[in-house]
Formats: sequence, structure tokens, C-alpha cells
Amino acid sequence: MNILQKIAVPQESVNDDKLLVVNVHVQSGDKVTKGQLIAELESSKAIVDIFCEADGYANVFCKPGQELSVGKIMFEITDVYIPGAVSNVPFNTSIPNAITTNSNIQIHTEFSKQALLLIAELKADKSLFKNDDFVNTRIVKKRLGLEPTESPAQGTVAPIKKASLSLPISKELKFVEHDIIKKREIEFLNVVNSTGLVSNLTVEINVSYFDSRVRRYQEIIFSTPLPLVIFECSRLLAKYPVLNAFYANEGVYFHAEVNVGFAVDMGKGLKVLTIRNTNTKSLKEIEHEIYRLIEGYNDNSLKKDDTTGATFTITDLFASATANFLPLVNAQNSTILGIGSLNDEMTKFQLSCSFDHRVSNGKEISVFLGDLKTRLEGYLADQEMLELARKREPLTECYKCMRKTDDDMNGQVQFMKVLVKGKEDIICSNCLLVW
Amino acid sequence: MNHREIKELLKIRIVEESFLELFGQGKLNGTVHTCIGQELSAVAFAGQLNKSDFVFSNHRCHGHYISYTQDWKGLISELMGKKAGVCGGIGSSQHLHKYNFFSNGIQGGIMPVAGGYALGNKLMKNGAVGVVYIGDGTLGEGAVYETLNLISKWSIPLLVVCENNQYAQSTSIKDNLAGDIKARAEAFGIETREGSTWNDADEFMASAKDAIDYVRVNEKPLFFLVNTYRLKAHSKGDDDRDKNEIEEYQKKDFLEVFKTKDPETYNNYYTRIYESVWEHIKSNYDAPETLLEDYYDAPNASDNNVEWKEITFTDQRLVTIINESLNSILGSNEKSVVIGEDIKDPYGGAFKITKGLSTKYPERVLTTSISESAIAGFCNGLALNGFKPFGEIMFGDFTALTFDQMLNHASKFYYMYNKQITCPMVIRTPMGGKRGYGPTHSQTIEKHFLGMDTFEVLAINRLLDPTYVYEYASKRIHPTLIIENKVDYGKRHTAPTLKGYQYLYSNTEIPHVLVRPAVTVADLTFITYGGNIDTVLESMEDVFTELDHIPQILCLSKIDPLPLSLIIEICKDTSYIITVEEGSKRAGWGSEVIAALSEALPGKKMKRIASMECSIPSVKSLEEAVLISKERIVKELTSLS
Repeated sequence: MNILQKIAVPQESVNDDKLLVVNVHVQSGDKVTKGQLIAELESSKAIVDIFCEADGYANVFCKPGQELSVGKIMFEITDVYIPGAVSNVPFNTSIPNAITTNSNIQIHTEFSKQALLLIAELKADKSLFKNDDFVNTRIVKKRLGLEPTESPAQGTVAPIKKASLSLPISKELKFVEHDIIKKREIEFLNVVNSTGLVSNLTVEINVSYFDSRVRRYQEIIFSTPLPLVIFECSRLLAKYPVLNAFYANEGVYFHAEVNVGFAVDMGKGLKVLTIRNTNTKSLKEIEHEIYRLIEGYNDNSLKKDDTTGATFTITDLFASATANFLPLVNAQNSTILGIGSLNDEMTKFQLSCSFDHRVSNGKEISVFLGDLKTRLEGYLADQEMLELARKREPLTECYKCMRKTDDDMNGQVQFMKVLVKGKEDIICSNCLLVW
Repeated sequence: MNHREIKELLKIRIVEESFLELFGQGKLNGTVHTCIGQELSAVAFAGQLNKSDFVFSNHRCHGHYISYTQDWKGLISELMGKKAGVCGGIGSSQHLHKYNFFSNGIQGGIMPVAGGYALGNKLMKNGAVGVVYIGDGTLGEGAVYETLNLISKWSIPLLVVCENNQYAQSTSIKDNLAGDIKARAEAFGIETREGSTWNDADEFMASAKDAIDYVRVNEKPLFFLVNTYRLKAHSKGDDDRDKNEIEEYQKKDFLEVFKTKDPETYNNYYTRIYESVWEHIKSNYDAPETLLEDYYDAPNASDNNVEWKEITFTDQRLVTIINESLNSILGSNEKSVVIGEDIKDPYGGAFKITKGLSTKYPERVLTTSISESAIAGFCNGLALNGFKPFGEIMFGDFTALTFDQMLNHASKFYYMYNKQITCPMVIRTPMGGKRGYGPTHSQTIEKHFLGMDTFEVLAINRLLDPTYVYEYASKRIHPTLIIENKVDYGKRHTAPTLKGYQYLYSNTEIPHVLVRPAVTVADLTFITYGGNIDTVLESMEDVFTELDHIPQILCLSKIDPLPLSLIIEICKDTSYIITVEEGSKRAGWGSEVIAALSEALPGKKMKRIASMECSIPSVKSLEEAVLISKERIVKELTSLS
């Protein structure tokens, strides 16, 4: 019997040393063919498909729900199937495309006395350290994420550390360790928010007859104004480039693209799904992209591009009971916008914006939110009721979104005269297009 | 005396008079010692040598130099500090080297160096002989007698010319010299002759020639006592001698007598030489001086892209490997020589390192008298003559007796002769205690040999095959000191029993050893060398288990100058840096390591662990307490964490 291929857990990104087995499509003894999809793994960023590279029989060493270290053997493909015989057979290295692995090397782990005490105190699992040969308290803390793994590189500002209270933890308490996905989420959010330099502003958006108004503009999604918010934000980011940027090396990096992401957590972990080049997409295209991404989230078919590269993030709690909250800014973002729920009178909802004060400031964000409010109310609120509340100068602003003719000087927006209820007014090309 | 010789005498005198004149004018830097009145000794010996012969001289060397090289212009430029000088203005009056001429300002030290140079000629069987000039004052130096003993015992073709001008600087021979000068040399069984620079010059010249021939023909040393008198001060204006005495000798001076006899010829010669000397001086006033960048070789940062490989252990005893290394060097390089005390078979050295070598290479494995200064000096002389000498100093403590040869000779030759020659000598010695040998046979004193120009101090350890160290030393063109540890000799080159660590060596010119965890990154680095590696290895388990540090060991094979970029690369990710040495702490090796690392890696916690600052007791309990030990390392690190 020859082993034709050993399939190990691949290294998908530098962040992940473990991946979650989502699906296993074959059982031991199944005949498999070259190119067949045999399993799916989930990394912190994407779903990874595992294909078979030889014709033969599968020997399965993994099952759904398992978290496996990179390099761990998941499958062996053999030319004949003998139950239980595989692991002892020497690997035939002459087979092309074979993935070799050294995961079978046994590492003997030694613990220092203080490390053993700390592990007992924290009720940590010793198997966490099976890849370490020497474990002292530094390694324990590092593996448990109790201290920063690396000192900041030169040229970056060290994160502002809060005094860490190491209170004793009762041994009686039940402890459930985070899975890899939650750990990565914490790491990811830690980047900006742990500096303590994140601030938050909120505006109220007036709406009237939400349900019927949202159906005027959005074709397939009616439970949230998310597509409209994404559409307008992606346009406004050209005017406010610092909101499409991030802080590093004592300065601001400006993203070259506008990729608006939206946070989703529907039972498979919090993910930011990304709409690429959002500012070039119509409202309709955006809606369809949202739909596709959520489908992908549900059936685990997201690709790497779908879950990475968001340059500006929106988190949508419109359908919840939460009126106002403080979203957390993602790594390599400067801003996140939260959509709160519709109030009981169905006349208002709130937009909360958290931003990295190292990149932007309260005044700038408040102007941005004012612009966004005006535009969204153009879709969602009765203009006559609004006009009563504010004096609008006709013929200098779009009658729907109140975009001023001075705005958007990049030439992407045109204005044209229209008759509205018998009166002459102007409308912007954006509003005309989504009409 | 023929007229060429008379003109040479006059040339020496006029050149030296011009030096005194220039000093008077403030145009020369430093000092000058003239041989005015003694010139005949230069012309008689240095002037009558062949080109392949050599001269070693002292602080009063101008006459010897001119007679041997005829390069009076290079000498003038040298004293004027010009680039065109024989040594680019670096050596000036006392430190000259051209062809086979060497002078040094240290009294006595040139004797064994000249002995070694002559030994080289004897080994090459090239028929060349040499003259070493000493003064009566130098007879107070011990190195003179160590050399007289060895050149006589080994029948070395060296002519020792002792110029007795009756004063050691200002002290009369009556006040500093006991007994008889010639009898001193005779006591070693050396042929002795005597002459003077007054009376019959022709007879003196002939007896000098006869002495040179005696040395050449018989391949034996000869001691020639030249009675002479310097008519000027020791250097400049420091003359308290009786004026009448000086006048009396002035009257007897050969050139004075000649001037009276034949004033016309004398004046004729004098004027012509005087004019040419001063013409050269004047043309030199604005000549360029040596530039710093042409003089100083800035250390170049090597040891980039260092790779570490697993050590393959040979399982041989270190004494066997070192013996085999020396055997292989003697076999492959016929210019290699091993010199030391008690190294001859059947004894084969106090630690048996040279066992069998003298049987195999009797001409080039030489056992000496108890003469550490001569061992190092002979090594220096051999090295200057193109040999690769390995001197063995039986106990490290005794290297103190070689210090003048190491510091004032070996380490200085390269720069002081303006990089015209290198001195590839090697001294190897066992240091260290733990054998109960007591205060003078147990100490680790290499710290006193750190920082010498051009020197490198190497250390063998039992994890690295010593062949690497010996191969590296055998290729060096500059002087080298190899430190061994006497307790290491019996140990085997085997993997330590301590498990879980990788034992690696670097791909550097001379490999260093790294002991580190196979997977986890260490947070504490021990930097050590030599025999200390076992003490540190013993402490590793406790340092980890009890003190909660994950340690690694960097064991250096070159301890001076430090391979700094390599050390920084190894230490930069660890929080603690601990030096461990068997010498005492104050002004020690660890101090240098930590000073260098403090400049490069601020913010680390550093500590020196070393032996106590007292003589090493012979009694076992106290010896163990004074020297570094596993317990001491653990204790000192406990206070650190």
C-alpha cells in the first residue's frame, strides 16, 4: 500500500495557527478522485477548500467542529484501503504534489515551577503548550494572550496600557476557553480601540412611513436602510478621505479604494463582509452584493476577498431593540458607523459613529454625520414636514437629498431642474438614478 | 679604515648632529638618542653583515640602521615625521624596520626576539646570521640571560654585541653592574670577545668581521663586548657626567683623531656630507605626513548572515584533539614550530598536549628552560622571520611573565613598523582552577591580555571541536593567545546530558557555540567561554525550573575582540544578559561585554557573574566557594528576578 498524498492543515495566513473544520465530505474508505472537494476549513478570515490531489482511497483523521493546528494531517489518500493501517506506512516521497509534514515529531514540554503554578491558577489546558519545549510564566501568559506578544516596533506609538489587575480567580469557577475565531476577533479589535483614543458621536435620522419609503428605493432588502446607508457613505467618503484611512507609524495612511464593510453575526461568529469598490456600485448593485455576501456567510462559501480589506465599516442593529451603541473601530480603519433601531413611534433612528481620534476629530465627524443625515432623510423622510423644520433655499440644493450644488466638485454629480408638485426645483444625479 | 668606512662614520655623526640641531629648533617631535662617539661599533658589525643577515637594535639605533641599510634619507624623514620615512613617521627614532633591520625601545625584549629570528635562519639552513645590539644597562634585564642560555643550548647563530658606554642613562656602571660582563656570557658557555671604539680601528673592524665569521661558520652564538663612550647626552641635554671624563674620551674618538691627522680630507668629507644631509632635511620640511586613514585599519564589521548548524560530536578527549591539531599543523606547515617547557617526549608537556610531537618533529618541537619571556620572545622572532610558532606556557598564571613580549613586541610590531610586517605568533596556555593547585597555578588571568592591538584572544570549549580554533589560529597573520582550561583537557567532545536544547555552531570564520531551546525563544542569554560552559550548563535546569527563565548560552571562541554583531543578534530578543567568567569580576571580561552591549542594546537587564577577588585557595572547600559554580549562578540570578 502506498500513501499517495498526505493532506495537512494549510497555513492560510500568518495570524492563524489553528483552523476550524467546518465540513468533511468524505469518510474513511471512500474512493476519491483528483480535484475532489473533500473538506472545508474556516480561518479567521475565510473558508478554505481542501481538494484531493490524487485518485485513491480516503483515510480521514478529522471531523467537523475540530480545531486543528496548521501542519496537522487531516487526510491520507492511499492506493488501497486497509482500515487503521495507514499511519504506520512509510511515506512514499516519490509522489508529486505530496504535502510533507513534520507534525508527527514529538516535542517534550518542560514547565518551570512558576509556570505550573500559573497554569493551575488559571485552570489553563496544558495541551496548549504541546508545541513548546520550555514553558515559563512568560510563555504561559503569551499563549493565553495575557500580555502583548510583541513589543511595538520602532516608529509606532506604544498602545496606552491600562493598569492590569490580576485578581485571583476562584478555582471553583467554570472556565470556557475562547475558540480561535473569538480570539482573533479580540486581537483585531484591540488594535485601535485599546489605545483609548476612540470617540463617539450620534445623530438622529428622521423618517416617515419607513416601510413604504424604503421600498421606493431598495428592491430586495426592506428590513433595514443598510443599502442606502452604504450607498451614501461610499459617496461621502470621497469628501471625507480621513474616514477611509487608518493610523500607523505616527501618521495616517489613506486607502486607495473605498471598500465598505458591514458587520454580520448570525451565529457563525462576527465577520465583516466587504463590498469591493463600493463607490462605483449603484444602490441596486450594492443590495445584490449584500445579499450574496450574507448567503455566503450562511453557507460558508465566502472567499478571502469577501472578508478582508474593509476600509470603512458599518454595523447594523436596525432590526434590534438597540437605539444607541458604541461600535468598535476595526484594525486598519479609522471609523465605524452603527445603525440603531427605529424608535417606537417609528419616526427616528440613530446613527452612532466611533472614530479614531488619532486620525480625525469630533468636528469633522459631526459635519460628516450632518451630511449623511441630510441625504438619508432625503430618501426616508417627508420633505414637506422637514421643510417646515428647516428653511430650505430652493434651486441651490437637491430637493430630495439636500446635496448642495457646491458639493461634490469632483464632477461625478450633476444637477437638473425638475417640476415637483407643480413647483420648479432641482435634483441631483444620484437621487435621479435611484429614483 | 678605508675611506668609505670613514665617510660612513662621518655620515652617522652628521645625521645625528642634525637631529640634535633640529630638536634644538623644535622641528622634531618626541626624543632622540644619539650614538655620537660609538659609531665605529655600528660600522664594524652592522656594516659588515650580508644582505640576508639581520640586525636587532635598541633605542640608540641610528648608527646601526645607517650602517646596515645605508638609508640615511629614510631615517631623517622618519624622525621628521614624514610619510617618506622608513616607517612613515610612526616609529621615529627608536622603532625602525627595513629589510632585516628591527629596533625597539624596550630594553632586553629584543634579545629573545633576535634569538627566535636566528633560530628561524638555523631551521631554514640559509647560512644567515644576525647581530643583536644591547647596551651595558640592558644587562640588568632577565630576558638577556634567558636568551643567552637558549642560544647557547640550541647553538643558535646570533652575535650579541654589548656596547658598554659605561652609563645606563645617567647611572654609572659602577653603581649598577656587579661582577664581570664577559664572565656572564662565558658562564653560558658562549664564546666571548672584546674590543673598543678607540685604539686601533682597523684591528677592531677585523675582530668584528672575525666574530661574524665565527658565528656563521660554527653556527654558534658569540658575545662581543664593545667598550665605547657616548660623547653626547643620553637623549637631549640630560647629561650630568664629569666634563673632564667626556673630554678625555673626545680626545680618543676616532673621528677626532682623524680630523687632527688629516684636517683637509676630514673637512672635505664633512662639508660634502653636511651639505647633502641638510639639503635632504630642507627638502623635507614641507613633505606630507602619513594620513590617519592610511595608518589605522578600522575594524570591519563582519559576521553578517550568520547561520547556525548542529554540532557533530566526535566523542574524543580534548587533549587528543588538540594534540592531533598541532600534529596536523606541524605536518602540513614546515614553518610551524612548537616551543614550551617540558614539552619533549617522553614527558610530552605538563598536560600531555604535545605528547609524541617532539619524536616526530625533533627540530621543530623545542623544549626550553623555565623561560616564559624567552618562549614568547623566540615565538615573536620566529614569526617575524616567516614562521608560525606555537608557544606553550605551562600554566596560565605564568603568562604574566610573557607580558612584555605580548604587549610591547607582538602586539606593536604591525603598527609601529607602519604595517610593513606582521607577527603571526600563537601562545597557548591552560587557565583555571578546580584542581587544588593554589594561588599561582589556578587563576584565570586572560582579562589582563584583553584589548591589545592586533591581538586576538581565543578560547577553546568542550562543545566545539578545538580543531576549528587551531585551524583559525594557524591562519592568522597577527598574534593570537589561545586560552584553554586545564579541567577541559580530560573531557570529551560529546553532547551534554542536558536535554531539550540544540547544540549549534556558527558558520563564522571562527565558529562560536550556541545552546538554545529547540522551539521556544529564550529570554535569558548567558555569554561565556572556555571551561565555564559546563558550569553554566549545570545551572540551566535550575535557572529554568526554579527561576522561571528560559535560558540560552552563547559560548564564544573569540573573546577579544568581541564578535559584537553576532552577540547582539543573539541577545536582542532576550531580556536578561548574563556574563559568566572564571576570572575575577573587577575590570574583567564581562565588564567589557556588558559595556559594549549597553551601548548597543540599552534597556536590558545585565549581570556579571565571576569568581571572587582573592587568591584561589588550594583547600577544596574554599576553592569551590571562591570560583564560580552552579550554586553561585543560581544564587546571583535569584536576586535578579
